[in-house]
Amino acid sequence: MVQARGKASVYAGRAVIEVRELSKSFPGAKGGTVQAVESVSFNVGFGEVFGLLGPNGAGKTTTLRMLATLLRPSSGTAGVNGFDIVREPARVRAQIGFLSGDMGVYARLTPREMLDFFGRLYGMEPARLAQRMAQLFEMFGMTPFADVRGDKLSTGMKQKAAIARSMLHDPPVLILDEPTAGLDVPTARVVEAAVLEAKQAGKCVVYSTHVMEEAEYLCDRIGVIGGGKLRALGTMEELRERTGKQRLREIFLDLLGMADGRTACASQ
Amino acid sequence: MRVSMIAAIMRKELLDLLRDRRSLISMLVVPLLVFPLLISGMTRLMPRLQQRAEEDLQSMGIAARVSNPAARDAIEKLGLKIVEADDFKAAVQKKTVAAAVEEVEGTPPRFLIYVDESAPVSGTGGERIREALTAFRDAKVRESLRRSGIDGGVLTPFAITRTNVAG
Repeated sequence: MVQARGKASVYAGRAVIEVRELSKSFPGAKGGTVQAVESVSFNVGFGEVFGLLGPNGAGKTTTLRMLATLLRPSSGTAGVNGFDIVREPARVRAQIGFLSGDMGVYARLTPREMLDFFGRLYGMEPARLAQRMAQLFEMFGMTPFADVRGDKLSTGMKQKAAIARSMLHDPPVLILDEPTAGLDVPTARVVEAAVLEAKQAGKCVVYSTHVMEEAEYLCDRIGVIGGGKLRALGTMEELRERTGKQRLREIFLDLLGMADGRTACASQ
Repeated sequence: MRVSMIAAIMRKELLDLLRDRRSLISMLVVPLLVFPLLISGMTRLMPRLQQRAEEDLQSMGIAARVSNPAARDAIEKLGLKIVEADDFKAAVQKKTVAAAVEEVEGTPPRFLIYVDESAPVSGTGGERIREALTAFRDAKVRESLRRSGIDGGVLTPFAITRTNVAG
């Protein structure tokens, strides 16, 4: 089910990602517990870009890390392409490409060596791996720095390499945590184009960002998360109807109860 | 995990290691340069320390409270200065004497040597006293055997010698 960007129609087919009452708490610094994510539920389908918006500390990254099986939920669960994140984490990992906020580019390896390494870990055939690497180098314009060590790369180059790594094995699901953070506009556009291309290819993309314009441009549906809870979920049209606001920035602030300029509701 | 995956991880780790200057320095430069230098330095330093301990031993002397004339004679033959002291343990601790030896009555009699192992001079002094008393004990054993009509050679059925051929 491939959908054109900006259409009001959203995924209506089989959910690739099914999040059910997902919660995560951590031990607090001064005793007690911190509820990072609380009973979050949503579905994402094939050919859909699902945006997860929220202020810092809202629970976006924790939610994505649980989906990527890097964190075990305190309660609730989620399915990724039919596999349960708690019971079948290895199978889930085979279904996803995950880009974390810290990029994770090896300092002493070149992008070519890094992709080759991950391709072998994914068990890709050498010919297929070489072909896929060539595709990604072309897609992200990585050829000029494909043989430059990671510690010599700019932030944009590193981010391109990290995204290429997450897409290397051509997974049906992409989980991208703030993929354009710290990037200049031209590099961010390359990333956005790659996300749209993945969507056109029918992939399921979960996309976390702080950039409202980016979310509005890329995402078919948006979930607004604050204080660990999902405050709202819907298409841009649905969110506009619900809040009476036009721009995503105003919608976002309204949903988080910050429309009058107050500083925080993240902990509500 | 498949063999190809293990090989990929090994290759990556090796590549990563070979490009890490700090790791290379700690793995190669330290063992190849620093360790030989340290060993060489220690080899030169140890004889000097030993010599200095001998000199200090001569100047400090030892304390001895030994009633057995032959044993006392063996200790005096060391050629070390014999110093008077009331409390041997305190004297060694305060470094007024390098080491001390005291004969404790009993059957058999016991010679108690006081040393401060943290001070090389004390260790050297204690070792010299021990060697003198060991030689004295061996001589007594041989004398007893001789009186009983047994050849003292039974104690040393063969000899062991070690020769240093270093230039």
